[in-house]
Amino acid sequence: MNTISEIIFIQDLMSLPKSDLKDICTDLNLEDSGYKGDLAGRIYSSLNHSKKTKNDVLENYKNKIFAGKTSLTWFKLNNMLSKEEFKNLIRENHSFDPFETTSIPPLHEISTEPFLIGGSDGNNNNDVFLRFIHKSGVNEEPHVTEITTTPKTSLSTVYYHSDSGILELRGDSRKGETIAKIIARLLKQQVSLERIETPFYHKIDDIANNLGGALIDAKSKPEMLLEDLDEDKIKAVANVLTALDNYFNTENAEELETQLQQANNAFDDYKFTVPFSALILSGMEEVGLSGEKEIRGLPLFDYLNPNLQHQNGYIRFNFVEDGFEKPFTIRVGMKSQSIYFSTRASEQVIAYVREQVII
Amino acid sequence: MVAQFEIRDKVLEFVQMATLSPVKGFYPTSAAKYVNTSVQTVFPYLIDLVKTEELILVWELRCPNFDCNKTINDSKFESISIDDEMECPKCGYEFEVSNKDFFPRFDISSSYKEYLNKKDDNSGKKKRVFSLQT
Repeated sequence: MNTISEIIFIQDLMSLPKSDLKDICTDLNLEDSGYKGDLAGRIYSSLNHSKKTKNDVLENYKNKIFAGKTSLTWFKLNNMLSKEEFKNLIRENHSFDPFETTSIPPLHEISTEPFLIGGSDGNNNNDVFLRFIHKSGVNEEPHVTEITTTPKTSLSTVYYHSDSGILELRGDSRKGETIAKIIARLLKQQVSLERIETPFYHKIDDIANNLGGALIDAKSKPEMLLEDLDEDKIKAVANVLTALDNYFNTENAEELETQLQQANNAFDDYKFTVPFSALILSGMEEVGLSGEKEIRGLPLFDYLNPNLQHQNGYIRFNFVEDGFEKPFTIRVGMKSQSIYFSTRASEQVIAYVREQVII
Repeated sequence: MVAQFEIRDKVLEFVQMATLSPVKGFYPTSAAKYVNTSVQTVFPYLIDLVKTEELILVWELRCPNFDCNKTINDSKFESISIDDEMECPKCGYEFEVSNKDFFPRFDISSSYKEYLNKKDDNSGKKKRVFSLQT
């Protein structure tokens, strides 16, 4: 049976912070100087000699090695499968038993179609990890009269949580759909996988609230596209804002009133018009609002918000990990229906997001 | 739970107000906000209005690069198919078009604008403001 350590590869080591790699080097009596790549390579070749050392050394990191800075998308199985049922179906339908051994195809055989190279039980008794490899691009190295190309590969992690029937895909979110299809095939289509979209239909506010976090950045598109307004109308709208500034300076309401009247009159040929807060967005394709702290409640955000459709944003929240409260930042893609951890994540904090936002 | 007929009426009310205003198109989320329900609920009614030609359904192709998100093209101008290779004219991101990159928008047809404005011409009412704020 594979353990988590056995499905850890060099790419995963590379995703750990350098300080962790240095610690592992020290634990293994290895030289801890050099670039990250040097350290990871040194560790990996040293660990591959002994299964036991690999388990012992990587034990401390199994909580974060598949987490880190990663993009997450979620699918739900329409039929609950127990952990064993899930594993057995995969065993039956894959070219080898991925829970017993790992098998990495030779570089030239790796294609853009993800391939299952190994799996293991998770950190709890209700979860499973699967590892996939796919070709993610090519490196081109021009050399005088020729170009050498080397394939680039990426690893993705799939996490199955049997209590909730949720499949979590970590890695390139554009590959998510393909990996989900492969898994559905491995499960013999006995279940169908449905992308979890609902949390992303609603406002980004809801996600921030569920996490007890602060919305610190939001990019949005205006909800409505206005006709191309002529210069007079645009000027009339802009003049209101200038007149507002002048009023605070002069306390003379007359000019402000005139400008307001003019802006109002400029739209007299319409039976209906949109609020001023929608008019000032005229012609904007996207509006980005970003603050140091929570932006909800700030005047500009609250004023424009009813006319905006959130595309994505950043949420900062605190989470207690190993007894310490730590801040985490996630990037929420309302359109890509994914969440990306900009701060290094652990299994616990990912579980928290899954529980609060997805389930 | 709001009755279906009420949702249909509210959707139509929203579309008519938008037609009589400087709005030329809108995203389904705005109709959902106005009706105070979900996009899934209002969508079929908007599609009905496409069938009767009040609205035109336009699919916007948007750059999948998280930090860009530019609307690259809409289906009116050029036919783009899934798996075509595209380059975002704003950020230069190269990608293969996936169905996830398309987003629906409803434009108000010019014939409906003309029709409704003419029809409504005699009412002589004062201009009103309609807001998405609920």
